[in-house]
Amino acid sequence: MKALTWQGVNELAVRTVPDPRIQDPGDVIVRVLRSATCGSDLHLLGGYIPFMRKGDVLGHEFLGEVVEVGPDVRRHRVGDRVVVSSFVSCGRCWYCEQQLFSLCDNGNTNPAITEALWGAAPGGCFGYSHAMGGNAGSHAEYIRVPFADVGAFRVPDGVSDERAVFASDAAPTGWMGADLGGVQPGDVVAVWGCGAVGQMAARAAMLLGAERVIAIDRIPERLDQTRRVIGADVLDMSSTDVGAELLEATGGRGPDVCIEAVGMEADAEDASSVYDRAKQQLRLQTGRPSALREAIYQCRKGGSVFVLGVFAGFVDKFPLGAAMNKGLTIRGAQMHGQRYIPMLLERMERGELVTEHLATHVLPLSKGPKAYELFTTKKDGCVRSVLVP
Amino acid sequence: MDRRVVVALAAVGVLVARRRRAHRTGPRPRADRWHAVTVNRPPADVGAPAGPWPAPLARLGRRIEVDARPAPGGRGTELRARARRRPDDDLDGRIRDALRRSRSLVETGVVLSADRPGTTERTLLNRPLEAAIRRGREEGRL
Repeated sequence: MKALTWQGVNELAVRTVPDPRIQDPGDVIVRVLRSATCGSDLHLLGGYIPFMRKGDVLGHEFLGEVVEVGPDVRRHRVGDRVVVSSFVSCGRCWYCEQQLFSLCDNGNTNPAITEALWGAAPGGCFGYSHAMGGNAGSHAEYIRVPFADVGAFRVPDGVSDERAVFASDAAPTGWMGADLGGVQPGDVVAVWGCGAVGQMAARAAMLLGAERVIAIDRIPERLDQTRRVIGADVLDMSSTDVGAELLEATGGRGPDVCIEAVGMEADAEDASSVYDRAKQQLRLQTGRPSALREAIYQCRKGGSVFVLGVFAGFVDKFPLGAAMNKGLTIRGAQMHGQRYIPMLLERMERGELVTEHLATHVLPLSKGPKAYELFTTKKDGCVRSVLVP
Repeated sequence: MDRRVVVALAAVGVLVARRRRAHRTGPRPRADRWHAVTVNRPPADVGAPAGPWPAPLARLGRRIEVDARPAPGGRGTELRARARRRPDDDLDGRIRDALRRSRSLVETGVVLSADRPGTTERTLLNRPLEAAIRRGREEGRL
């Protein structure tokens, strides 16, 4: 089959690779219908997560058609249209039972790598390096889905492929930020980043009852989508003093919940960004946390900050003093998709959650490198590229 | 970033666990410490009180001793193993691997592996990561 493979730092190529096979009784094989690029893929492309090997298949946000089922699969049949959680989770370990699916004890085939780096190993993810299990990704014609009864979900007939594909990762990620960030009715919520995940976090905050949701970015197309489609207030950080605006919008308190949806390649309008870039290029720190610093600084006393952006290692100038002295709760996670996907699909079916506008560029799999070029550079108004094998 | 730098970083990261154990400046773990995993099942499901233990542990035979006890708060079973005589890094690695595989088998019935055959192309530069992956369940902190 054809698949989009990592060939080296900032090098992608479509290659012919072996078809996946049923290996365990709970597996299904899915023929991929749509597979989306994700901001966290940029960390793999750029070599900031140095556990990729030449030939690894990328992609972790996808839906498709079940074409083969293992003997122990009970919830799926050949022909089912399913969306699959980006994290591989067993459903039976203690973490899965606690609904912390991205921390599954049994989904990562190489736990030693991340255990050594971080103290404990999170679960496994499709197409996200050997540190996260080495599972082949979804930018391919077919993909093997382990623990399919736990991780694959039938898509309602009334939900299009373009809408449902984002239930695999972006929508549950955003929802998790608002949910586990503790959004309550009446809250004022600020979201840094108006990419797909940030937009989903903003929409989730609205649906969870936030009275005001303010999203922050610098890219005009993303600000426009967030205002027009999601319905949140927006701030253009390139032309606005975000802190002053947030204080005015919150009566001098600051937002109750601040959700960071930018990640380790954030840029700011101040000297800290220059500092972060320099240190990152010198490999003296692995991420650029400017958006996270802002979220901590702007959050009201006693408020909550949720980190949705993917970080890998260490960052410098972390405002621990602000976090501690303001009594903040700081939390983060890779997304617990299985916890949210069924509910999100229902909301998509009812029209409460729309996502198809995020797929600004739909290209054939053969144009995979071009899809990532558009996504990386954000040219032509690209928010997400979606590949069609 | 240059590919060689990426691979070098990966190799450094892969070696962190072993080097830290060999060159730590603080106290070393006790020689007779138990390696342990917590299995989300009652003790009888892992073979308590006296075996037979899950196959990955049983295969290590008399080189190790195995123990199981209820985890605090009713959170399953602590499955523990250690070298019967003087521990060495290789046996400790096999114990860690066996404990992880045992937990997976008891909880899910399978030990997950990446797709076979894989799509990865072997190169000279990615050999260090390949070596780390071969030991992907042996190293770490357990």
